[in-house]
Amino acid sequence: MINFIKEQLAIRRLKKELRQYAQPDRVFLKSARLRFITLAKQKSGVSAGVGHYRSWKYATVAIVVVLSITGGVAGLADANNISATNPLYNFKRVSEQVRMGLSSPTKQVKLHKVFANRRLEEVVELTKENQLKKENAEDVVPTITVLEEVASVSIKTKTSRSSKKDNKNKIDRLNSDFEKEAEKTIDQAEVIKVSSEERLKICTEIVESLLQGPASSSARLANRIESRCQKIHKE
Amino acid sequence: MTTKDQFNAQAEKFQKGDIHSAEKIFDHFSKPIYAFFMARIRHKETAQDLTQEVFLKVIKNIDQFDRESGDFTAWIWQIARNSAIDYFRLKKPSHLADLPDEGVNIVEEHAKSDESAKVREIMDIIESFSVEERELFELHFVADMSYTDLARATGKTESALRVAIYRLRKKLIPHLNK
Repeated sequence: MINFIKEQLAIRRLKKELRQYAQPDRVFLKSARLRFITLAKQKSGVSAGVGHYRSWKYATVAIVVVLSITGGVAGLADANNISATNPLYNFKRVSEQVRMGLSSPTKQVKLHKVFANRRLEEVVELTKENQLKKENAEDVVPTITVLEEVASVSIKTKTSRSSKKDNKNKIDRLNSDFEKEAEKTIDQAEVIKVSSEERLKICTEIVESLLQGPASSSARLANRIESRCQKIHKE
Repeated sequence: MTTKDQFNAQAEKFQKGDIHSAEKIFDHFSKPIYAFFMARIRHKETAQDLTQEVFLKVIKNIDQFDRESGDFTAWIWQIARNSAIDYFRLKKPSHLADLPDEGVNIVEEHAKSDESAKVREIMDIIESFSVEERELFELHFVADMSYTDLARATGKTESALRVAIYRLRKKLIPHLNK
């Protein structure tokens, strides 16, 4: 036992002496550390440049992917002529804008006409939907007599009212878009100086479309466009 | 079974340019690496140069470190070992004419004068031990490495190392009691 303790003490003493012997100078350690950190900083500066290039590469790929997906969805929405209530409706409008931007002036006349018809279809569809909702609401309300259901009914009517309001706004917006498209068709026809027969045909088609649309504003616009058409025809 | 090397994560951060991780690596490894060179070469200035060289190699090759291929502790100790090997290879005179006239390395003799009598005696004895025993002595007794770090650096299990160090102690004790 005593021998074991003696051995342990001897080893401990040796370790202590060796540690002192192999202890680096503080000055050396400080300067070596400074040198190491300086070089590491220099290297990380170079790596940061490489990292910067890599992040740009990834960002470009991400942008290309996002644009491809958006373009695909927009193209699909446009090709299927989705309704105004569809969540992808805005993609369809963006696609229409792009198509318009990329077309020649002659093609633009046709596109304005197509888009005017689309807006008109959408207005008609939304108006029908609105009327259907109104009828449903009228059917539901008289049947509810139980007091406990009053609260839920008020919520329902509120929702239906707000959705009706939304639809009304949408219809107004689409109507104004339709009018813009119709006017633009005539404007474009004037600018590119299409043949008088062709112009007359466009005019007749637009006026017919307008008369199919919901009364009030469409009739007023039809009159305005008709007078413009007659003026162009006389020239 | 050794636990996960905490310096793997530090090395990966260092690869990404984190200077704080580089500082941690230097603070942890600089002293034991210097002690290892002191034990092996027994010359202060050379040990300092080699320690700096190891850390320069770390900066130069840090991008090549891959934790899948092994722990960072093993990686950095391999650099240190290779530096010592390169030092002895370059130091070895290639022609007989290069040998010192008296057959004694004056620089080494001067360095050894810094050692205490006891340390010098033990170091001289250790030189007669096997390469494996000598390395264990340098890493455990001089560089004061724990069994866990030793296991990482040498690639051996902790239990095998405990047995080897126990045997080394037994071999050393008769010389210590003189």
